[in-house]
Amino acid sequence: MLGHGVGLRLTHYDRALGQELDVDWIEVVTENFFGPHGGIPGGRPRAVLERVRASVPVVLHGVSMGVGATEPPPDDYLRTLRAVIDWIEPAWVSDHLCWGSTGGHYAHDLLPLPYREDAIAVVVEHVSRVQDVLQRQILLENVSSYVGLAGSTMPEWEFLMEVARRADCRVLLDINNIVVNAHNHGFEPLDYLEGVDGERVWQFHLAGHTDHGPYKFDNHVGPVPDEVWSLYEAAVRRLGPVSSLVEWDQDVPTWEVLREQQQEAARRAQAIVDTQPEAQP
Amino acid sequence: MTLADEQALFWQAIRWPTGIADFLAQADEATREAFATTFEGNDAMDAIARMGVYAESYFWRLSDVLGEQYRVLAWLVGPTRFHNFVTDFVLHRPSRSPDVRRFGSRLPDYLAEHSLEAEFGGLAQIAEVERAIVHAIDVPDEPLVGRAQLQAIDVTAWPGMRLRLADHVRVRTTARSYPRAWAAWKAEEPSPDPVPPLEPDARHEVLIWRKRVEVFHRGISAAHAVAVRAMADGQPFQAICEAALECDASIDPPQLVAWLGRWLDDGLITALEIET
Repeated sequence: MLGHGVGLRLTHYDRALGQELDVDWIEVVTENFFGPHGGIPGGRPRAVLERVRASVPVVLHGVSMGVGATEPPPDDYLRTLRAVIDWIEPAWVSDHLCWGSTGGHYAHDLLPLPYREDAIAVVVEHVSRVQDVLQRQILLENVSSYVGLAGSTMPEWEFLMEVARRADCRVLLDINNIVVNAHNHGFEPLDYLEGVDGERVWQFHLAGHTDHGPYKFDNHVGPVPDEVWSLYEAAVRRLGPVSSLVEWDQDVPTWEVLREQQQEAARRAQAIVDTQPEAQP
Repeated sequence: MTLADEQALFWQAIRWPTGIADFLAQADEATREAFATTFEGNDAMDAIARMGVYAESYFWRLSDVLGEQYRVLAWLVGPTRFHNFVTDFVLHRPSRSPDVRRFGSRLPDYLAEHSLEAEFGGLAQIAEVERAIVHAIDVPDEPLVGRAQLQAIDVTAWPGMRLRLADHVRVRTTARSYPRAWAAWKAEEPSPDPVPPLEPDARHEVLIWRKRVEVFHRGISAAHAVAVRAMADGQPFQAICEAALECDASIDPPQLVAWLGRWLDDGLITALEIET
């Protein structure tokens, strides 16, 4: 277990260059460190990531692999990802259980899949290929969604776990996304947790969202809301201590504010671990 | 509907520039039927509104990236014109890269053919400068040479010496002054409205380069731009000097040596090659 980290954003690159990231680990958006011609970048992105890697563990978190697209992840994408992995030697590599491109065009969004057998088959085929190319297991994250897809035959958590089981990959469980989807699609967040196989869960994400009334929007803005903290505590109780990470993407605050959120995650997890001695990491 | 059909419909719907409801209004009956049977809403929010969340996200994410990368262009044309232009660009040049930072790479070429350029002129060149700045941010690092390496070369060999430029270096010619517009944007001056007319026969040269992790730009003289371009073409130092002198006969040797020193100090040169 890596402990408690934060997602590194542009706002804090100068701090990263000064190796002043006083958290347990750092997650970066993988594609932000793709070079302009494939391969690894130069300049500021390169300097930042090398400095970070020299001081704390780094996790690569992609947004464009699109394992749920009907076309497989492109070879050049995987080649570049492999180059970045070889360069930075991340603790692990993750992306999302979604699709985001079609016909060679990218939406740059995490688009939802129907919870159906045909979607599972597509994802499993693509994840298996990715893991073959990368020579490592990847983590897949549950995404927020705003629309239901007709023909779904199972709840979201069953879909997630079936993909993970058949593709033999791990799960990045985004606690905020569960809260968002529970509101948007009308299920109990605890039912989601109950349906998750703890053996597969390798990481938690924590973040804020905006409540628009009829729907909640996953925009990683603001501090982690109480509802997300509560579900996080339930997740730690049920799944044990898991590497956890705070994301804050809009109106990114000072490092001190961000770090306070990271510390809060650590405190809450430790309080639960302290009452469950058998769950010590 | 297959999964591929569903994703194609999803993509078609969220890219529609005037929203999901209008997409359906313009669609044929089969498409409306497919939409109704593919996407589900509930009492709180129907499927059209829910798909609208994706459509909004799609546009604004890409628009924000362009606004970040083309800040001076956005300032120069003002928010309404920039928004309208970006709407056209997002519609007609969907992203082909998994890296959203590359989305705007085709913007200057698109702008060159756009009515905004036809109306005001000189805007695509401003965009070219900003594309060069974005390019310089993360092109791969190369080993650089400094004054010590130059001083190790006998002066008699300098005329035949070739200076290899780093990949992050660009020179751009503009009809509008980029450094002046950049300074006004940086000072948070309000966007000019209307867009200022082009100055007759105005020609500005801008040098863009990266030093360590920072990207810089500055205006340079026409003769200086000629020299950098000659260097980029692989000309030996003597030919570089002659090209500059042809452009501006008042350039003297100390000036040329000063340029050479600054190119080295600023990290523009990756190799000094002597013909043997």
